[in-house]
Amino acid sequence: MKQFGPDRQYPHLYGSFLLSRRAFLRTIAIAGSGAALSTMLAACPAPQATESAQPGAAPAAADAKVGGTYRMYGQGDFRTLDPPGAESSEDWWSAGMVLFNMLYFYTKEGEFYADLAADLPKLSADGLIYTIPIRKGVKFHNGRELVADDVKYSLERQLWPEVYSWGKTYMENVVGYDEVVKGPTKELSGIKIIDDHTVEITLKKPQAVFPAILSMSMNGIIPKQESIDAGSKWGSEVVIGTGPFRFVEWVAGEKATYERNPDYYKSGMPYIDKIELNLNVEPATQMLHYENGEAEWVENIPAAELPRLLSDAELSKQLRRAPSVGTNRLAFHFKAKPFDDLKVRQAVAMAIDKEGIVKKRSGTMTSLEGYYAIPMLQYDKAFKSKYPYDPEKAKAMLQEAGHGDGIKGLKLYVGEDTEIGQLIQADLAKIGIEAELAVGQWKEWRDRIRAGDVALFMYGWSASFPDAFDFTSAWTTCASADTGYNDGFYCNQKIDETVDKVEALALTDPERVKGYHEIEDIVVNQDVAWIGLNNPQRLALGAANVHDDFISPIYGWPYLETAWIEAKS
Amino acid sequence: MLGRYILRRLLWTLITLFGVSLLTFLLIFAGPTDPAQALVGDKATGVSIDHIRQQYGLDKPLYVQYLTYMSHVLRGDLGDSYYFRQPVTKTLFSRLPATALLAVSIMVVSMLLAIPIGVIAALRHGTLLDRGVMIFQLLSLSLPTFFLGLLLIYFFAFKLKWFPVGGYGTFRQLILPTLSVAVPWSAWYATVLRSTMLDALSADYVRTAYAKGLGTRLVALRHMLRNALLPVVTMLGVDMASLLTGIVLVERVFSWPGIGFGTLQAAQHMDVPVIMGSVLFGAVLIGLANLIVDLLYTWLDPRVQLE
Repeated sequence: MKQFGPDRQYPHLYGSFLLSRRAFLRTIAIAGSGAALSTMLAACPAPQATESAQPGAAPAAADAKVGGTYRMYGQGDFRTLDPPGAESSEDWWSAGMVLFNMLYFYTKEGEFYADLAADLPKLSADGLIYTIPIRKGVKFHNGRELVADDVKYSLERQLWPEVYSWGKTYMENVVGYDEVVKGPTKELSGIKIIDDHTVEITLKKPQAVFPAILSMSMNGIIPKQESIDAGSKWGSEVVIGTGPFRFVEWVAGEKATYERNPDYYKSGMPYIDKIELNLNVEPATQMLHYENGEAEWVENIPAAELPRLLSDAELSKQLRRAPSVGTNRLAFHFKAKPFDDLKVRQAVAMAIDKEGIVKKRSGTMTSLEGYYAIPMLQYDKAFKSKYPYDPEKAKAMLQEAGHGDGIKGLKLYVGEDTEIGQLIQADLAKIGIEAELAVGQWKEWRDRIRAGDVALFMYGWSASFPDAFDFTSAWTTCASADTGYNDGFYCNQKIDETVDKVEALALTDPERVKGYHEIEDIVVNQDVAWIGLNNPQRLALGAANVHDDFISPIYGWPYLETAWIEAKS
Repeated sequence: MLGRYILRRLLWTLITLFGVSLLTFLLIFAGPTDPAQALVGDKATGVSIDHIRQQYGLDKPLYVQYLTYMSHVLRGDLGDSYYFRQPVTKTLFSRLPATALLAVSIMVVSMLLAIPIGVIAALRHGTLLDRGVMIFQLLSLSLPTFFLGLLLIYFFAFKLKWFPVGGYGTFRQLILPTLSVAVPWSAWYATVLRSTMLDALSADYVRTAYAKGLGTRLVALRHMLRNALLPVVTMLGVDMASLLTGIVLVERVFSWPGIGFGTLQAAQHMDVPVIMGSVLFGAVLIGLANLIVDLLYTWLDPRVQLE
């Protein structure tokens, strides 16, 4: 599976400016300066509105919640509102969380749930066929009921050559993919309509994360006939989904307006009458709108404003935070000296003061024991690193490894984040390791990293969905040294075997979760291949009188189906 | 005579446009960025990128791509935006009203400020008033327009709440972006006007005007200003063209949906048809602006002959 999707491209460092794509810059710029949240994977919250309000919220009856306009400001622009093509932060969120639904989705805690599907899929014994029941009574914004034909059409249409989609290759494991993606075949043979409310999807090989792929916005469900009838107007002037809000208008380069969908399948929701999303607004201007009382949500907090926000008693309460699905970590080159020696890697692990990094970033990230991100299914809060911060022990370990005089002449790649780079550099110096910082874009340094010239490197990665598969298949398997981002050539066959085994199970199978726990233990404690540094937070500002507008760990934007505006007295 | 002149100038504009188009095209493809790659972003995979190349003819030799493009342009078709998937003309023209409104507003306000300031500074040169005006000019010329824009927003929109913070659509939203450009520009125009007015003060025709008993106001407005305006008119023409091609920073600060920001986005996405369209559009405007300036010259100064 390819490791691409909005908001997550090449390895990057959170808080640095490695990538040119606007949407991504914004995400990491904010994520990189974020603070600790102890939100852990909670046990199965239902996908209904949670009544847990922001601090200070008065409890309100459902009907008392209805009303109000939610004014938002974003820095980016729309490309399209057609789900497969929407890829900048603003249109991606609009398609994925506001106007359309997918078959499956994730709650704010990272819990996987059936959205337009009526239930979790049934998996055949050979792990190849997913049978998916479609929810009955779901209506598109034009009042027509959703049927299996719309689902099949939506999934295959995004693969058509003439349709721009950022995420086609995620679906490459579906039977018939190649014929459709190259054209001229239009029908995806791997998808069969069983009846009006059941589809069956056949894969080429078992793939546990396939339902998670169905939760990605390029697989948003659109109405077949209506989108065909709309022709070139689809996605810009005609936008019909099943989501909590209906499309009203999109004024190019300026703003988009959505209104409450009174027929939303989640009864009673949403509460907000109208959403106004202003586009192309500079972060500094967004802040002025917010402080002027003209915004309920600003997406882009200027980095220079963050210290003020965190220290201001009122404003800090209005910061919306959520752990992202990305982590920053330190990795070693396994074929280059001195990191081919386990003891040296252990010494480095004990030398890094992870809390020091979090403190430097004003608590806008959470330090990690393992390397999975907090919202992930396999995140285990009980997991402990065997090598906690202990510079004295680290020094002794280095001596034991035969480096009593220290190590000189190393290079440490830190992306463009010299601030964090210098902290790590200083930590290493304390135990006698001298490392020169290698600063710049990953693409420019990758060859030297792979060659072992830069044997210690800090990488960041944001997953497409909160599942550890995304942190494993292209990163820690032996095969990924050639096909993925395992640039340090780390290889432990046991990880490959475990991945193969558990990926034939169902997504949420406890055995699968256990398998990934074992992998985390091998990577962090047994082989010390990676040192998980931190899990940056998603940050945004939300007005004090708005409640339950929780940030999605994936999108970094709010769930508005649950949000409600308390009338200002 | 005038008709032939205009026709000849238009022909030259066409030749210039051809040169501009060729140069822009070559520059786009001479750069290190592959438009197909830029179009699908870093996440492109083999299948989609090859398909994009085929779909937009980016797999063909450069000269074929250029000739195909130009043959469409000659038929009035600027192509479709790679990124937004809509006709370039639609992308440009949907942003034109906002840009034109801001441009005209900036020009009018600049002139309303510059003419009195320039004239008074010249007539009262050497006085405290003149020095005050010069200091004001220096200060406003030294301020980058986007910074002035942010200051205006901070004081007049955020602190005093007289105007909205940004956006487009109402008269009040037009005022701050206009001022953020018009104030420094008017200082520049006033400086030029002051200096040409000072030159005119010692000219024979001014002395004659005074000699025949005309008052200062009449001499200044009827005789000196008309001559002194000539260089300002030249500047106006070129500046108007640059305003109509967009003022990116001001558009960005005030969230003004103009052409400049659209062009910037196109460059970021290597959206070749939009880049080409915007550049050609700008070149046409500059060509026309120069032509209009020349024609205005003959009206302002009958001694000027167009040949």
